[in-house]
Amino acid sequence: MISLTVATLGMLASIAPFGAIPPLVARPGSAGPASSRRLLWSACAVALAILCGSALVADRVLDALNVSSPTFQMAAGALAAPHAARLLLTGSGMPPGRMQGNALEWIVPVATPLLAGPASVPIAVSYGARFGEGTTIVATVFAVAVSGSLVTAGARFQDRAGHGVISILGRLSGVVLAVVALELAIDSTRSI
Amino acid sequence: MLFRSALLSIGFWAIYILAIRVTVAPPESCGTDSADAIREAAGNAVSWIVRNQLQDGRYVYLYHADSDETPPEYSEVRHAGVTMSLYQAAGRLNDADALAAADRALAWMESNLERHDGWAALAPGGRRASLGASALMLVSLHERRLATADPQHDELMKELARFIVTLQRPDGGFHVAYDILGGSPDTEGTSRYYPGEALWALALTHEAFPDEGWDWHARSALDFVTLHRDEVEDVRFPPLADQWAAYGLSEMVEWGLSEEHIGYASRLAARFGLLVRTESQREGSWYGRALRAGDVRASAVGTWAEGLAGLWRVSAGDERMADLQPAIKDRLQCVAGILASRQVSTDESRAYARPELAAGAWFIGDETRMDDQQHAFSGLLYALDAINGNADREPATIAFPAPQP
Repeated sequence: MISLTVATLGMLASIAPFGAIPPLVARPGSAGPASSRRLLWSACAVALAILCGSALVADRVLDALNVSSPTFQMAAGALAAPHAARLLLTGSGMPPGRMQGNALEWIVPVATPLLAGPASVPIAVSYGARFGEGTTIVATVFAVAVSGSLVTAGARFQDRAGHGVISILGRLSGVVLAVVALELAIDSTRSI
Repeated sequence: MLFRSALLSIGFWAIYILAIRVTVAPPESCGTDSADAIREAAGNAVSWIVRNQLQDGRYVYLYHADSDETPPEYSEVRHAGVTMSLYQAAGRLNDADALAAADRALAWMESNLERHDGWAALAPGGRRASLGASALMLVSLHERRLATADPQHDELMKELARFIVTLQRPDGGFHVAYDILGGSPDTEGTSRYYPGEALWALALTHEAFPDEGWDWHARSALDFVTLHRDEVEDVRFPPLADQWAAYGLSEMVEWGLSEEHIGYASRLAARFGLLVRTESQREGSWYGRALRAGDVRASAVGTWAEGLAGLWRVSAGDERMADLQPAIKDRLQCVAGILASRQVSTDESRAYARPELAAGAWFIGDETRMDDQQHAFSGLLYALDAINGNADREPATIAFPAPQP
């Protein structure tokens, strides 16, 4: 149960849904609300597939890289650091302008780094090796579902709560992700 | 705009991931994974020690291959440790040459004993008796007793144990030595490793003589080592990588360990694991080696194997550490493979001025020291136990039964 809780919190922190709201809300409204929702849920589905797939192939990834699980865990913590820093400094996972005008934005990890990007994918691999594939997949499903709901409701949420609140929540996401990265690094040094 | 932005993003992450790969997670390599190669390396290490014993029972202490010199310096603590490993070889590998060499080395130790007030201590020169030398001499005698069931040294063993107890402080720790000329313990000096050596020696003494109360002293020493030693010794990154404590824990696991002891054992396993992972990164690539400065000599790497092997036995004997057993075994196999692959082979030794001082040895730079072979051997021997699933450290049978009186 502790493993599942840690994995769920870690995956949620690495996806950082509050940091995804500003760029996604700023997306030009060329499509209608229904189309936007479809797009966002498609992005969630792709992210879910990427993250679960990452957890499933964790051992193969470690074998291919010739590294042990604790070593990779340290690296995953380091890889999460830039994303945590960006969130902490800007409250957003990426500049809003990055989302403009690309029809394939939902599938390209570079375009949606908060959902399945350089922070969350290594963490999924690391958790897959540390907690097991099943635990990591359950945690990922939960984290992506929560993130999808928050991001989908992002525009309304931002309208009601205001841009300032979203920005604060985004920065807090950065703090949480930094803590998760630190936990990964510390646990690595305490692992055999 | 989007294209440029995406390119910048990809470029940043490519460079960052590469930097992480090089600095944080370089590839790891564990040398050979062949149990036969590990066994052969252990045998070659023992052969080095036997072959390079001097006439008086001591061993070649240091060998500088470049200058082909064997400096005259010596350490009685390491002498006792090397002798211990020879008795281990006698008991576990049925090695008669090792037993004979160890007995010659024991004779040298017996000729350098100081006796006072019912205790005996190894003290060449007769001025100062260090705790570590006598503790490891006592461990040697226990290993001899396990290999031969010979009781002829039982009284000496108890005298040595009494010396250790004489130096034990009320907090379970130990004074580092006894000033023989002054007639009192040295209360100034400290040692990080002597308490672990004394702990193991006392634990073995209780195992050999179970009705004499040695376990009280061993438990007190274990409490000190696990709870206070790192603080007293100002260890910067605790726990200290102390294989002697691991030996002691493995001996005492059947007595029942407290939560604090198990917690310490788990942290100690993680410390050894981290050291082995770092060493395997040094083995895995040129940049891993370049960024992890300072080669580590076999006497250190061997102690990691010894320590992990002791903790593997703890994990086999205590449910609370059972979940760590696979990881400990993996690291143990890794460090054993690294050691085996670094040993100078017979073929390679022909390139040295004196092949007999090179074959079976581990060098750092041009230097090998006798305890490089000692710790590497003991580490390899007990790593094989983990690989083969043998939780008993002692010989299964008496290798060289002593003649009955």
